[in-house]
Amino acid sequence: MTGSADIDLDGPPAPLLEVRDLRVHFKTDYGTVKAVDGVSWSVNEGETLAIVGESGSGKSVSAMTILGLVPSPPATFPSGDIFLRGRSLLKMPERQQRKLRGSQIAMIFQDPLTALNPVFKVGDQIAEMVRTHQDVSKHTAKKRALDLLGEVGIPNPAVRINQYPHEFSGGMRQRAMIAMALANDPHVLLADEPTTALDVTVQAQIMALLEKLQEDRNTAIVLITHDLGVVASYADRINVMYAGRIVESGTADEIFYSPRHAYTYGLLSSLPRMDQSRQARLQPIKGIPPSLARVPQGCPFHPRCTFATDACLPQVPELMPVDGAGHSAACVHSDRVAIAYDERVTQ
Amino acid sequence: MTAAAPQGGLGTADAARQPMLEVRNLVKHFPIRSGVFFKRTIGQVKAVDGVDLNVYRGQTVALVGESGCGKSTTARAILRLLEPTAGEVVLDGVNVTGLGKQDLRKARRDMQIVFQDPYASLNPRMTIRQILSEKFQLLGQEVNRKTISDLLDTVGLAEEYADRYPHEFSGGQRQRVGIARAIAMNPKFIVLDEPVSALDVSIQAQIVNLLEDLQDELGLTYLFIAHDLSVVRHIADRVAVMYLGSVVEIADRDDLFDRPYHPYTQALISAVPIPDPRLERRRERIVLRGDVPNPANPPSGCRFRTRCWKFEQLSESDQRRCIEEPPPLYDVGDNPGHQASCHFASLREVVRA
Repeated sequence: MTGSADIDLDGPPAPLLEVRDLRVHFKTDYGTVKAVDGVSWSVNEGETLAIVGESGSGKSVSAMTILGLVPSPPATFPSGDIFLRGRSLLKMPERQQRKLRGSQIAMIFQDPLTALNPVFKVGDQIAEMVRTHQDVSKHTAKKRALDLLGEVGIPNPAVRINQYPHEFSGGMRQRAMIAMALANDPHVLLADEPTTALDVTVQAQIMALLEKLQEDRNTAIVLITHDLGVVASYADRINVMYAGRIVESGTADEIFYSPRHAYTYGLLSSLPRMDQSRQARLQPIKGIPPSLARVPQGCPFHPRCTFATDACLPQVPELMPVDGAGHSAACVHSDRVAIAYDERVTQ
Repeated sequence: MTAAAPQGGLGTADAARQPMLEVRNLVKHFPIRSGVFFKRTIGQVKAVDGVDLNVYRGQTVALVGESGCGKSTTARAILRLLEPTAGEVVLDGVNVTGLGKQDLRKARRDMQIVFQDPYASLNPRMTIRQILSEKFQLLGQEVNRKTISDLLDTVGLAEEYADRYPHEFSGGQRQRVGIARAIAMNPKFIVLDEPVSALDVSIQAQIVNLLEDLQDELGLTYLFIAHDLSVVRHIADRVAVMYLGSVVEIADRDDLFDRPYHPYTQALISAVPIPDPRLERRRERIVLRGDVPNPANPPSGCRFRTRCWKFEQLSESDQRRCIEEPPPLYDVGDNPGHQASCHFASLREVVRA
């Protein structure tokens, strides 16, 4: 850890990574797509923050923006900043940004087959990552790649280091990508659907590996996923996103046991549960998520919401604190949602 | 529950009835060929290696397992979308495996499939009306405006959608079209091959409900292929777990989830995270070693032994039994119709522990 030197002794320490009022818009023929529209969150050492949402909710775009992977144009960034230990990432010169990305902040992608280069050996790709950020010899970098492959649980690393991605199974590729992400001991790991492409028994292996690495290195993990089961097992705090905004934020227990946004309520009610014998009928959310180019007026969820009234229409609800210190929801009817959820649970 | 099968899923009640679908010792091997000019067969990928299955009228049987376990190949071999290498499939008294081309086409009226990917399974250059009419035309049947609008209505789509193209639809709507196509000919039996895996959570529940409603209304029999065990627990009456081409455990739904006997089933269920943080903190996950072995060269004896957590705890002589002797499916537990193929099968609670 390098933390102590950076901490301001007068105030509370700056969070490890903070995103403040981030907006990422894309100009298209169909109008402006507001993929991320005013999103703020932060994550600290050793903590796992989950960003949950369905396809097109903007959950991946915010992570890609942190890593500078969203090209502009077509993207525009009408507002927002990203802070790493209190230092603005976006105000740094490009060269300095590049230095931090990949070393201090690293990313694990959903599909390891497309994220790894098929024509280079896995070991060389990891070694390249080391040499990009550290002034070491080829030999040292290769040695480091070997250690990393062993650390992420790849059997026979000395053989595997000289193989190509197609010779790896899906789970092994994901391990190799984690090794690459760890190459420079990052403080923050952005994991974008890290196990979605994998089978459940392999998912359990990969998540166990991430948990162990987090424990050993005190890494902050930002877990971007649509899988509420994974979130329930691994997240400390959760941001629920809908149509480019965070609609509810809280601890895992707050989100799962006392949801205060109608969308969170809807998601939890629509899930089939493996631990319960057949429920009479699933309670789906009606309709489909809106196109981000045509987000409905007022609360973006209101056309699909069973709680909606005229009060939802005039403006987009702000994220407001509800019970508990960190629990907030952007819902006009958060009290009614709370009552409805309690009734549902006691039934 | 399904209206057509009031006792659906209860092994005892089923025993007296004739199954809608009978699968006997189904085998599908894919040859591995090598050579430039003269292709020689140098091996076999044993994708499906002797599967037996009964599905009763109005019942939903789920076939679960991880990628490469052979669940989709089994389903396709049942429909003869892939020609089975050996075995017998009997659908409502008709031996499907023995049918010639003409008769097979007629038999397909009774057996249909809904595919996983609603983006790849609809022809992008055909309107929904054309896609749905094609079915009737293939069998030389009359099709009119009302047929199509009724069909769309059944799956919850408005008639005005009939003249649109697939790209104008969302994933959930496309899957409704795929379902409409499958039920168009009033089939008796439908294979649902991961029908909700590609859909968002909030849409999944809509499609699951639609499938259940259709089963009630039309008395359909389903073979549900899935890897998502939460959906399976909701929709299935009976569950068969596959590993490397064979069924390793089969039981009625609640029996399988609450009282699993095979170490693979136990690992599979324990690996599924449940959306309940307090429960998750309590649960112990069985983490398996390594990956699924290559089906072209499966392990001797029990195919699961290379990853088995129980194998590691056995004495050397017991281990030898796993290595040498392939375990048969045999009755386990107290409830009828519960079978597992493990020499050392024993109950272990994994959903809540």
